[in-house]
Amino acid sequence: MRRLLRGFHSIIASRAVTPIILGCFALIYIIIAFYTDETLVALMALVRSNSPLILLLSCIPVNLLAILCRETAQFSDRRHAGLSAKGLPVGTYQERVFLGTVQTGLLEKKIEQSGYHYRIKGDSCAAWKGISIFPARFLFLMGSFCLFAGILVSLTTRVSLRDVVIEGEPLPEAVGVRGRVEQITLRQHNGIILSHSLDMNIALGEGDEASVRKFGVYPPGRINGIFFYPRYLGLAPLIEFTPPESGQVFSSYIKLMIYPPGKEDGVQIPRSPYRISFTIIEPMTGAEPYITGKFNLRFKVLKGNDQVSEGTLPLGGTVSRGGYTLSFPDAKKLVAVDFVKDPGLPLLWIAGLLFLGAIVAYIPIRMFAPRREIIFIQRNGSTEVFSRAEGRAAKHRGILHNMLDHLCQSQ
Amino acid sequence: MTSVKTESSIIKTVGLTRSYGEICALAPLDLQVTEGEWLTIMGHSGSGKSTLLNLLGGLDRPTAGTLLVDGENLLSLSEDQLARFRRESVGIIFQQHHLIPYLTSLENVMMAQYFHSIPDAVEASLALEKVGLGKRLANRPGELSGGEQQRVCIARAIINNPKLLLGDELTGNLDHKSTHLVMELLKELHETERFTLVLVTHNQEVAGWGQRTIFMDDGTVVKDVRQGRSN
Amino acid sequence: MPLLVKGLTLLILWGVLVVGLTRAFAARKSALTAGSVLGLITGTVAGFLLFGSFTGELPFAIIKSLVAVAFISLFIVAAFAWHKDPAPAITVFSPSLSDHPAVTAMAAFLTATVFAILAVCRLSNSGDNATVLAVCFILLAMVELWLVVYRLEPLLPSVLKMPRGGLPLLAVSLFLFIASSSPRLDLFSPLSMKVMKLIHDFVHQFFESMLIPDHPFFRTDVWAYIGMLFSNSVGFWGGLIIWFIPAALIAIAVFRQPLPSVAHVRQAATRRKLIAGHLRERRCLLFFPFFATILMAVAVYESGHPSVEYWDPKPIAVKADGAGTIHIPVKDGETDLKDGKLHKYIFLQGAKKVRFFVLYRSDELTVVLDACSICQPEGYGQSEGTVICYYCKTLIPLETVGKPGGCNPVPVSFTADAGGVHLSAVSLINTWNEQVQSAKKVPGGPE
Repeated sequence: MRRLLRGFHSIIASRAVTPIILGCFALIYIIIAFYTDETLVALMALVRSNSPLILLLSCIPVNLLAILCRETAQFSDRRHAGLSAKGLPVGTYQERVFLGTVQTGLLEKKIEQSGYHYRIKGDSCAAWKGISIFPARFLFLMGSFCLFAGILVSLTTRVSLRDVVIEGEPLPEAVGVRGRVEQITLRQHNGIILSHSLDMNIALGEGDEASVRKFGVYPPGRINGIFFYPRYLGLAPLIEFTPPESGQVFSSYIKLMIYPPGKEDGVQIPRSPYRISFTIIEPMTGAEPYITGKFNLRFKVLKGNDQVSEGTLPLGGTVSRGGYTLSFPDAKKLVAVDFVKDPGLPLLWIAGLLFLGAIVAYIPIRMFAPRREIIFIQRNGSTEVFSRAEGRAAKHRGILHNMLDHLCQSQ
Repeated sequence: MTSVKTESSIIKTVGLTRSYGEICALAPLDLQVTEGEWLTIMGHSGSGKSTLLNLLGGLDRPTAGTLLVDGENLLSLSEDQLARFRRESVGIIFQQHHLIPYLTSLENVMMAQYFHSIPDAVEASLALEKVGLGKRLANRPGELSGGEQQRVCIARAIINNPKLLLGDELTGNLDHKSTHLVMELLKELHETERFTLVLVTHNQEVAGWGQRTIFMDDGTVVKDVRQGRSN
Repeated sequence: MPLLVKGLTLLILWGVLVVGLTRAFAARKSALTAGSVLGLITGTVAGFLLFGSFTGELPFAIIKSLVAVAFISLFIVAAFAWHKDPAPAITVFSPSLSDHPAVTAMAAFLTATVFAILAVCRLSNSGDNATVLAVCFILLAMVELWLVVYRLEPLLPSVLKMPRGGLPLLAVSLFLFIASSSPRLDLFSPLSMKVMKLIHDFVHQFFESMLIPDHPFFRTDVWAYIGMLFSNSVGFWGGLIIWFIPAALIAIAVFRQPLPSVAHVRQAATRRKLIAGHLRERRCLLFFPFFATILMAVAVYESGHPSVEYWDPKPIAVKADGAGTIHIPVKDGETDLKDGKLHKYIFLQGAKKVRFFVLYRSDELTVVLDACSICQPEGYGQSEGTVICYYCKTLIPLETVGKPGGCNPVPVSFTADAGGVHLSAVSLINTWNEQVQSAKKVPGGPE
């Protein structure tokens, strides 16, 4: 039973598991690529709907956690069991040499001359220099665990719904929160990455209990576990359209995804052959209409496939052409927002921070003070020497060999 | 002085000859040197002592005769094999040092390691410490005195653990005090490293440090004296 | 490329492969020879059967798949080679298992079979007397095998050894080199296209998953850098990285193997000599991976510069009549739409330019845009029963031209009669605007 458990543990904590599983998914990706161009999307959908694949993917964070536990135990054993030989993780040392008996005084002198710290306990001596990269390794493994756990959770539980929030209108029902969009403001922002900032002021609750919260671009705001992820800007102009053959006025706020200026969108007039397409005209001065609130629309009226009218229409204006009348008395800003419920997302952000920490911890240690260790264990008239180096291995090896030469010469 | 007990010959020549056209620099020479011995070769200028040294070090090829050094018949070696022999079995110290002026003393010693196998800074620095230049690792030859330069040469010559160390007038450019320091160092190294040492000199005092002195004239050995030095 | 040159090149490559096989299985020359001879015969028979039984693109697709499977398997080999302490089962690609004659014979058989199939493919489709030449080539290859294994290979320096994973790397690199000289077998071009798509999709998914804002909120210069990930070169460089990963892993694996310990030697110069010897041996292990890398690099070059000439006529300008219809007659002077060659046209309306071509295939005419919906519209050329997209180098069989999807040219609605082909100018322009990449307003963003 114990052997079985040990075997299971060695498999689950093997460093080959994650690459093998990733290789399997890569193979599946390659096979899917022969059948569709939307390969990644298809792979994600396949994994989401396939329990064995989800189980396979879940083995990765389990494996990483097992590796983390094993390496932490090895690190602890090296630190605490190093002077007793028993429990010393021999496999983690790069060199192992047998000598005769070594004089402790001479050994201390040689270690000090080489610039190493040392600790003596009975007939054993541990010498070391530098800082272990284990903390960086720990952060890296934790980050990897969070990354794959986050991918797993996100893939299997993410729910996303796209809807529009319009100034002055209530929040979409699908959000599940009562609220009202008070104001949408776009501003110039001289950031390192972002050129604009977007503020959506939303009054949550009702009446006296209402509180206004501001939702921005990044990081996205969250209510009841749902992220507000603004995608695209648009306009909801109030359009009044009167065709020549009927006196009926079509009057409605229409949702148009026509930002940035130049992008085209349109509306089909219900129960009529008419379709009107709009674009925002880019102002000559360069001032963004979305910021200034001054919109000039270019429109085209199509009857079936034929274009029957076109022109420009400023906010608050009316145009009559060829019997067609179009008015643009009002406009509300709108934002297409993805409402995303994804419990895996915080894990992914934490993973990013952990990786950053790992790099910050690793690089200076590896460059300037990598860990080097030599352990001397005397027993039964002989001395066993273990050595390992996490960096500057050639220099450490030279010091070790010369130290052993001197110790042997004096025997 | 410590006597060196040896049992085998590290150098054996039979009828060794070197001629340059009609000029015979080395007449047929028979010589044996036991392992670990300190031999001094003396003679006036043109007596053939440097020629003999060059032949022993594999820097030159004899015209005739047999030359066995450390069991190798140098006449039968190809150029590549001779180069390997020089790298691994022989250390040579010259009067003019021949240190590379733009390299530090540590780097000059590491150059010898590089041509032998691989450089090792730790070993090279220990070798320089052994010759008393532990604090002069980063200095270039121009920043060292004559005696210090010669000591760098000694470190360079012994770094690859040669069986045979050759010196050609190595104290020729040194004053009396430096000469004494260098010879003391050589004596100490000879005792600890146990190499065979062959020095060419015209200085009687330097000759007195060795165990045996041969006198050469016109390419032949005219006298062979075994001596001890009283300290 | 003249037939004789092709044959000689293949013979040289075969010689190199045999040297590699002999170095990997030095102790089992007879098993190696037997396996190789059997593989050559099997591969030749299989090759002729393949081309005899199937027509069109199918035999090429099968051979291309075979090479692709070998390339993918190389990643598995490289992963095993990378692992420092492989379990005994994993050493199947290691020279240490070469002692078993069955393994030697099987490895030689598989390698020789694939090589022979590729050789038959390259030689037997090259014109008259090509079949005879292919058979002669195989016989010469057998003679060369004997010569190299028993006479030439012993003369090579003994320091040239095969590292772990080196033999599969050498074999696959040779296969890729041979395949790259034919656009129908080339793997690098489709690989770089798929990589480009992968990177596009990954960046898109990454932005969505991490709730990163879209381009309207980004600074233009920052978005320009992100936009580089959507360019053609990202597919090339990404494909190049993937192409060379196995070779890099196998080469680095040589350095990852720890040197034998010399700590038990007490003489410093002796220790250095031992280490220097180990380092020299290790460096010599890089010879075959380095050679394989050169072959793969040349394969990339050949992929980008095929020696095939494409039929690519200059587009003829056409106009629409009063009703907005474009008419193209079946026969017009020397032009005959039904000659099996593509005929290119360009329609101009104001600032709008639309390129399209007409092709007669599978006994009917088809009209398609000279662009697809995925790539930048660099157009198509025609050769060897296919059309090739100049942007991504994808080969599209003539039978599928006119069908939508993938890198196929975008189909255009048209009518055909005895007089010719007729299509609507408005429909043509709208199709171009809606489908073609450069016409889409926001690259990488909402469409």
